[in-house]
Amino acid sequence: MKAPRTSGGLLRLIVLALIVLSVLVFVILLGPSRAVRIAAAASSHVLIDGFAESPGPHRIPVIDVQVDQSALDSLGADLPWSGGDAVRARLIANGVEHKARFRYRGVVTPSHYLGGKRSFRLNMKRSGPWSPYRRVNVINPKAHNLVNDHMACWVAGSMGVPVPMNEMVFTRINGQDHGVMELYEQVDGDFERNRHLWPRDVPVYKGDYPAIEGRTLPKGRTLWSNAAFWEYASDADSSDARAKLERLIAALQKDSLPMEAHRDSIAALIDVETYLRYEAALLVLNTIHIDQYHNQWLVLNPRTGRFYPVLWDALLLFAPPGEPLYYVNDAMSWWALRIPEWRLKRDRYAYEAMVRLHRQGDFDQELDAVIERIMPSVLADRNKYGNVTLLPEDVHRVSLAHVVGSLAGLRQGINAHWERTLQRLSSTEASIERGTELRIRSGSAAPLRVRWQGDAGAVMIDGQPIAPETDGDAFFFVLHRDLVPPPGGKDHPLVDRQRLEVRPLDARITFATGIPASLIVTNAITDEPIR
Amino acid sequence: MSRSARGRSVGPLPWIAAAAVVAALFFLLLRFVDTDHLAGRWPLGIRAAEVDAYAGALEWRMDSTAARAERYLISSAAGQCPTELTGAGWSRHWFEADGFGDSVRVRRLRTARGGFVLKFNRNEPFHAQRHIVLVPATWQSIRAKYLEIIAEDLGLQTPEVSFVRVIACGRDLGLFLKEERIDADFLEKRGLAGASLAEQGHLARRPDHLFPAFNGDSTAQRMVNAILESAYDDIVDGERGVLPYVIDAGPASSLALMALIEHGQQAFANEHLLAYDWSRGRLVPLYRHARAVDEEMPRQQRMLDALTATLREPLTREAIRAGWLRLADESWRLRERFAAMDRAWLPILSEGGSLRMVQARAMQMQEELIGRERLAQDPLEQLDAALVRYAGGGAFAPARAANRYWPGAEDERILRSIADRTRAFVRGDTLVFPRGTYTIAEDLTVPYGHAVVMEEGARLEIAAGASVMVQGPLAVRGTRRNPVFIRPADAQAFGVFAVVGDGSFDVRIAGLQMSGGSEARMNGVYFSGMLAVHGAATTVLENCIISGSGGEDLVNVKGGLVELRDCVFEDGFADLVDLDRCIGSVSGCVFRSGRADANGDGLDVSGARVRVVGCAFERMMDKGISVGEASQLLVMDSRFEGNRLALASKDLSVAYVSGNTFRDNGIVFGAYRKKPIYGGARVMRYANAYEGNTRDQEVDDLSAVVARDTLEEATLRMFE
Repeated sequence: MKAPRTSGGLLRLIVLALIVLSVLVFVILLGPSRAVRIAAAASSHVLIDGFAESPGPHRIPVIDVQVDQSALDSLGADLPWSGGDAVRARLIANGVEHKARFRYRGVVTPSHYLGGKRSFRLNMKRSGPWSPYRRVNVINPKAHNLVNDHMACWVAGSMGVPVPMNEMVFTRINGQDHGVMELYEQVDGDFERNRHLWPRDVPVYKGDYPAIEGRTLPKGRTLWSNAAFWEYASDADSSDARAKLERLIAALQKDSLPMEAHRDSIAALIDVETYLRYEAALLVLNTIHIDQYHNQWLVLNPRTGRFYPVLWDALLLFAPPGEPLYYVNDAMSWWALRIPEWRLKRDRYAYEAMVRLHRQGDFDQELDAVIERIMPSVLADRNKYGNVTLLPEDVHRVSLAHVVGSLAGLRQGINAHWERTLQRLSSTEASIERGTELRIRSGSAAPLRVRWQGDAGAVMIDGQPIAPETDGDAFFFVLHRDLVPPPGGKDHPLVDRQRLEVRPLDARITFATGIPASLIVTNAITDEPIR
Repeated sequence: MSRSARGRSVGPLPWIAAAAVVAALFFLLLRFVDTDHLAGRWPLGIRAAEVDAYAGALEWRMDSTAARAERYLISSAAGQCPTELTGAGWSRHWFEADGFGDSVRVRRLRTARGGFVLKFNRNEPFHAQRHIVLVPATWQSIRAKYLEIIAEDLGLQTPEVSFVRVIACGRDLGLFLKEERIDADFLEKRGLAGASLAEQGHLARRPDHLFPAFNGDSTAQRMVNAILESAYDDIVDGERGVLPYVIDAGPASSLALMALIEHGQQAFANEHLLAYDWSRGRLVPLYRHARAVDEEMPRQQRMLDALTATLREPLTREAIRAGWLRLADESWRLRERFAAMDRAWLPILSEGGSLRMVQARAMQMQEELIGRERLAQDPLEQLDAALVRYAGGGAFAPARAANRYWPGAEDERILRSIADRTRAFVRGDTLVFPRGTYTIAEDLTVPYGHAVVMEEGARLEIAAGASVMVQGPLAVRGTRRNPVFIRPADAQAFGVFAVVGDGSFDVRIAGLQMSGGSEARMNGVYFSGMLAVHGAATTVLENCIISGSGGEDLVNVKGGLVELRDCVFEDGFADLVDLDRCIGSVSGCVFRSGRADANGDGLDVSGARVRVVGCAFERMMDKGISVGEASQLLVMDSRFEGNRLALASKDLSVAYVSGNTFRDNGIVFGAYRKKPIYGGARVMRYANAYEGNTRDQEVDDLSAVVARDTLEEATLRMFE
């Protein structure tokens, strides 16, 4: 059969040649990997997303914002530097217009201001549609799965960690669909009022990059080295809070005082229970996105007079897989890990949470519910934008395939992290020799609890006397593990991104009255007996 | 095989014939098929609206009626019509309806599209309502009426739903569902005066749903948060919770049933309203139909909160089962009420459409709400869900209610420790104060259900600011010669001596001489009276002398039967005796004021029916007797002397006055509306003696003082 030589066939050939040429040009300009990723994202958006017809009504709130288009254009033309400039806006809810202030946001993260789905902040009146919240961020989710931060908030909130209100929403700006975004509360003096805990503003400090001055990106500062690096974010009187923050920062500095002195000073100024849950959440979320320089909040609890942290922009799985158990996010976490009983508490909180979230399936259940909730909106969203390469400026259209793939990746990644971490925490690898003395050796990470019934007696560990504790039924002590920096590593609260390793245990324990017959050794994190 | 490539033209006739056949089939279907079938669910994704559209065009049953809804007319300044309002703020308009006309404030309803909130002037409420909410109505809005009926039947406080036609700026906006907004006035009309209103959401991921949101009442907020935190801790620890002492099982179970009936699987997806009743220290669930809930929403994790937690209480669970069974047994009664509502409202709501179709659909709606199939399901199975306190709940623990008392296993020990501390003794389950002096150095809460007996000669000296609260029967056994004394321990006022009951026991106080107290908040209850009795079945005071308080009332009795005999009440800072929502009598008592700085009433009666016989009201700086809030009062053979106003009847109250002497008073009778949500009042004046009074009466336009000759037998019987 002879192929017909028609003008249509020729046209097709020309178009094909142009496409190949354009790809070649981009391959040459951007490099093959980058060009292919951008092209694949764009083409999958065109080929896949258009098939989603009649996705059904939204099951997440719809944010309908009206902003003067010329004002919006002006702001958009000067991003990211216009991020601090707010313009008047109206938020439409149930046909009612609510006055608001609108500004774009994000200087450090290009996915906030590049591409067609720009993140913004709304300031509303207290009677606004998101009451009691007055200031909310509406951001383009950083991960393709859209729910990374939303789920991180949920995970940490379920662990008893203060988190901002976080909802998935579908946004419209000036009548145009803007797509699925993440709305979350801006932490400020209203934090406790928003939770119906306190009728007035409470002191709040923000630990982040300094505010932009001029048109340069700010440089990070080591927050825990100076109270002046913390920005006061409340209308409440700050005098007491400021003095406490200064004292807290002083207590975090490494000096010749014993660990116990630091511990007691810190405990008087920060809600240790909440802080350890927060530290546990960082481990559970596997994030290092909260660090010495940014993403920190401290709220002064007016009922206890102590600060508590708020989990902010944690990002699930932000850390590479396989980070050690004892990663130092910042000076506070250095002390939390250095004080053995605090570290044990953190590990127990993390372990309990992972058992609930992973082994009992709570996370998958919630993720399924969230997916079910956002799905009609994700299908309706033709404005998905995200980073398609590792380069921050490569914010391009992405498709439903990216969302689906990323969701699967999130599920798989977090489950793998939890499985690995649970194994590390619950390892019962130890050798126990009973003779005239008890010798316990272990190469795994978990501290061990030695427990017996009967007489407390005199107990010595490696020749040092200790005072056993009692829980009413029995006596016990915990063999905490020593943490050491890796070879060449530094061991200081203010050093960035430290990892601490667990030194192998080799303890010789003597009991004045001989080794009690009822003695058992358990993993102090999981309470599982060592066999 | 070949076919012609040439197209064959189809003439107009086959087209017309085809259309006519289809139309005829539709007509026959819609004309003769029973509406119950037409109103049912259709296959192939055919929606009810499509059936209605066809029925509107083709069905010729001509069954629509010309029923008329009440009309609300809203007039506005040019360019200010409510429909043109887009913002969330208030604007002023002229409102007319049913003989009422006034300038009102209007704003868009924030929670439902197309709705409005109307706010009336405080002094000119509309049908005793300060705020009303108007939401565009369709025939489906009848569901809200059904829900109101069910809620009422379950004993919940709920606003009345009706339907009106709204005409704004000369344009007919159509039918609207009208209901009163739940506000302070709504609560007051339902016996919850002064209660604090709160909203409670139930989504586990929302930090603002951790605690109920009290709008602007930080005292209630802090106190309730602390109580609830204790309750949650108890639940987590698996202990017997304090919740039954905070929320009554009855209303809590009713609200859960309403949530289930209204929303099914989404029972706790929307927010609920609660009122904190300061007189009992209890949260009272209120019901209002939801304005918008997405029934298709996947089930969301539920917060352990003030309402959901009650679902774990055995008493509430029992009440839910019982309520559900009762609904099943007596659904015929509800259906009768539904039918009456259908007759009243469906002709209005079906405007322009087929009434029969709407009736059929309404029947299906009723079936979905309280149908046999629905009520055969286990309510608890549908309501039960895991409850969690997420969103950081573990971090915020407010200060726990350390000083609050809850019934529990410790009661016996507490009773004995009270006895040890005060040197009283315990006999059985009763705390007895025999003759002697007892110093109460700090707040004393007698455990729930335990009686207190004070023998003649007993003398309680209560420290400054401290209070005593009894939660069981109280017997004060003094006499005029050998009284029981309750006095301040030093020069400063103590708080209160109070009894809080659940309507199951009596308070009998004889020969008590009490002075030097004030008012107090204790265990979550606000006591306005130095001697306060809340919720006793019967309260009897005889031969008592109660005087010199620094609080709002000398004596305050709330609820139950009350009998005051041969007592002297004098020198209060404000009112002497305040009887709220009681039935009873006052006889042979003296009410007098010798203080120049006091400004109160002798006897203040609210929402009550009281007979006053043979009493004296002397030198009261305000009123001898003040009767308000739809009370009935009979005053006979009493003496009013030197009062600013001898007897005032207010707010829909009626006072029957016969055989009394009024001497040297500023004004003899007052009759007026004080609280705008009520109407005017009446004084029925029979034969009385009047001497030296400055003025006979002070009456407003809504009220009257009516002179009558003979006190009717029927009136006397009303007060027996």
